[in-house]
Amino acid sequence: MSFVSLAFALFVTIVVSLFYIVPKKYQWIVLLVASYVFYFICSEKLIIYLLVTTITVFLCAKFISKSVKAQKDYIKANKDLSKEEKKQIKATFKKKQRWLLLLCVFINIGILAYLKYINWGIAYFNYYRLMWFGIVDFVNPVTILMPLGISFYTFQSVGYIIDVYNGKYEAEENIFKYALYVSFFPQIIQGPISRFNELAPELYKEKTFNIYNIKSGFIRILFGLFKKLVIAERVSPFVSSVMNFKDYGYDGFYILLAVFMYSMQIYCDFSGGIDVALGVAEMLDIKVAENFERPFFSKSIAEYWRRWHITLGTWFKDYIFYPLSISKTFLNISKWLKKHFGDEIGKRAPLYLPLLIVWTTTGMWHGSESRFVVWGLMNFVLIILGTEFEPVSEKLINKFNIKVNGFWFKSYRIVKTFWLMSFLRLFDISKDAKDAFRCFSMIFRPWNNFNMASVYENLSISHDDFIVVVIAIIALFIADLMARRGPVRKRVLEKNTFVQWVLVSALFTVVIVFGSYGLGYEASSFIYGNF
Amino acid sequence: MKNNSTVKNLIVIIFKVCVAIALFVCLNLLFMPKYIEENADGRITAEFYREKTPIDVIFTGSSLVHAGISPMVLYREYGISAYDRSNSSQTIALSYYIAEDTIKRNKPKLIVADVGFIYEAADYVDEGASRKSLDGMKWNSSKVNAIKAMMDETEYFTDYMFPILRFHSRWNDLKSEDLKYLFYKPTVTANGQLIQFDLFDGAVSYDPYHLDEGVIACDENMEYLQKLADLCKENDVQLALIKMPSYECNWNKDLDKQMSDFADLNGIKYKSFIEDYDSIGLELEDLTDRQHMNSYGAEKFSTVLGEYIVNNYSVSDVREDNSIKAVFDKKLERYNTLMNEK
Amino acid sequence: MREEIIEILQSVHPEVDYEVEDKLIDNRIFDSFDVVSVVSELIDNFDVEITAETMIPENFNSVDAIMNLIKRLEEE
Repeated sequence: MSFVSLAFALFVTIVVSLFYIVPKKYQWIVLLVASYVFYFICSEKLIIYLLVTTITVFLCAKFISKSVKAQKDYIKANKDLSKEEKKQIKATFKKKQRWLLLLCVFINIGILAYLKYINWGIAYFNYYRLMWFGIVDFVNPVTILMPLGISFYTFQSVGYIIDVYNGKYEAEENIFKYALYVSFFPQIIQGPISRFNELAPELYKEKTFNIYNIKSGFIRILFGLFKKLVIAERVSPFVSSVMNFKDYGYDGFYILLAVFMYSMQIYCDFSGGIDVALGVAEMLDIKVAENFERPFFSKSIAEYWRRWHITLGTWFKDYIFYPLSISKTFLNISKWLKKHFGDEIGKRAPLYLPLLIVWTTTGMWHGSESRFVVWGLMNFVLIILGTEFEPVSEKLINKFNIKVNGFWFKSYRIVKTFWLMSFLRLFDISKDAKDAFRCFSMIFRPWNNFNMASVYENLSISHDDFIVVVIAIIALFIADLMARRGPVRKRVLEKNTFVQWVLVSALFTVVIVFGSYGLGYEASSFIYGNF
Repeated sequence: MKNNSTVKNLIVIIFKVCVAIALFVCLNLLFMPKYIEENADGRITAEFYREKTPIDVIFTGSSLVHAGISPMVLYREYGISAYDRSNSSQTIALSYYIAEDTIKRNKPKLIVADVGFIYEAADYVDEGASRKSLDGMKWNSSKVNAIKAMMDETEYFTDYMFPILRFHSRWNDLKSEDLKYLFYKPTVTANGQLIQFDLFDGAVSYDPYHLDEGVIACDENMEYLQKLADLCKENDVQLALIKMPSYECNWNKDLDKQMSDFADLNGIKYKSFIEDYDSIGLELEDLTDRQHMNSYGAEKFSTVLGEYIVNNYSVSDVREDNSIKAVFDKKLERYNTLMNEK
Repeated sequence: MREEIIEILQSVHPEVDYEVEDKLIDNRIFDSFDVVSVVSELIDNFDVEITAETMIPENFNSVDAIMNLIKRLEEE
């Protein structure tokens, strides 16, 4: 069941109605049943993966939590222990906890890694066996059916068990409540990746019906559909056409235009899907972490990654970057480097090495092909360059007396960041890394072959569709500018009823009329869906 | 006091919902193709429901029917009250549901089914054409079943409930016609016949059995034909199977045999007019293309067809009923004007 | 101890007035790089074990917060 279907609309209507009709203490059960029904409709027997993750993580977390508690109780009960003795007791408990944690993470990341990378591995195995040993006996790829949203719920579960291990909070006692946290239907397809201590209380709290939440959620869903149907679905065929025809004269400015449009497409598709998910959650009066904060207004790449797919970024920061960078291993490496290569290098090691690991894994998370790893590494390089050249650019700024917070300089940085990130997305739409670099170089061929008539004729977008896209992008730009001062829908709802109705019906009509859906347009599943 | 405000709130909410629904309906009407100034065959199904007088004879079948059979000629010559309920590319399945729908509303004495499309594969769908007949149907179980039978895997049932979902991409194709006929739609057919005078300008040789030998109707289509025969039997409606004549016929002798056998088995008659091309007096000027007759051709063929109907089936001469005669004379007058416009 | 912490912080961002600022993380004055630099210095200077679980904004928003964190870790 896609977010963009009448079936989903009907499903949401039923769930929201039931949610507010049943006695409040059963509300979370409605959500649990709805989530499992939703998952089952989408994935049928693949639901077994979801169950395995839910049960293993629940049990391991429970045992870890018990051990953490026992450890605390023991130390409390024996106050006269010396510092050394305390340390030793802690270590014994910690060892058991660590084993449980590792087991659980191994199982769950293992399932994810197997499903995502097994065929990648087989392809490389075949390739190198052929190249190095001349063996032509190929191993056949395995047929893999990806369970819906596995990357998202696995990360959410692993985050939970690490938090429990760190004693951030206690494990959930009720497996059904925990199951709801893992499977909550609006966010299972493509996130956001929530934190247990933030989402769980929202899920279990008793909610009173308030029309405001329904209206606000509805507007958010409509806006998400606007982005997805009016913009993303409409430019998608154009982008693929340019990529297909780039060697047949559609290079230079055509590619630049496609790069721009792909940025629009992926932003509208992904953030539009998130808007639908969070809009549904809002109707249920459940606050879910935001995943986008107008990312195209970022002034640096580091900032961009704090505003695009926010929950994935913070996940990597909290569960990979920090633990690695302040781990004994990396601090020792740093000390050693400081001694032998000087302070400057030693200081950077605990930052850059973990960052390198973060970006390699982020790349792999996005897709099981080498080009995504290259994409991750390119991000890494650009972030480091940005950091390293900061002193230089600061000098330049001082020398030329540039107003850092002035409109022009800010705009320059925003535009620069936008284009850097857009060019990196060539890895997304190219066949492989080499193709991406080649494609980038093709932008710098002469632009005089460009004409719009040829775009309309051969690149799967008609004149009228193009006009709609341009207007819609401008509208989106304005909406995002307005969102700087808080969500636009909240301000719409402050207006009187008549204005509200006019605006909402207008948005509804625009989505219905100008959306790219229907025959020949089977609104494809969200691009991020299978990650 | 409190009660009062609840009632007031409720009324306000109901009012708002009604306005929203009304606007949504208008949106649907706006985007629905009008089928008036062009593609008028899309109006045939819908216009039938305007018919208030009892109709004795109903025709089903493909576009050959509404091009080549003139109910007005049948009335003028034989006093038959008839209506074309054919559609472009109407498959036998669709013919069945159209017949079912007709019997529910206005029980005819005779259904004349042109079987010319029966050789098409069971999954044959011309989405655009079948939509023209389906969208015009009024909602009842026949329509629901017809949609289910005609839908392919790329379509959704909801697209039929809310035409805007199917036709929203017409936004850049909207014309003044769409506003003009938003609510009011003039009558464009003559009891289902599309009046037209286009002449065939190609060169072609007479080819009555153009279809490859051995091609016959598939089981699924024959099942629908059987259902049609059963339906007529149950409701005491006579059924006639015919094959329309044309210059180049997608037909063969194996199909003729298959139809005759079927007719014999069900105690009904099958008549192919293919070989009567000359005796009907059809000439190239009576065709719009190698298959369809124009309205001159329809005049000639309808005279022959009417005689066949009168000789083989029991239908009454409605000219004897003054009230029906008055209505049909008016229709005939309009038909004559249309025919003389050219 | 307080002076020592301020010294460490100033090595990262000399322009900040650490006596006043109490939202180093929330106001994004320190990014994750800065935090890691500070933490590795703290570990060197105070002989405490700072683990990932303490890496939350509340513990690093101000000089006092960092001081409290160190005290707490020393006690353990």
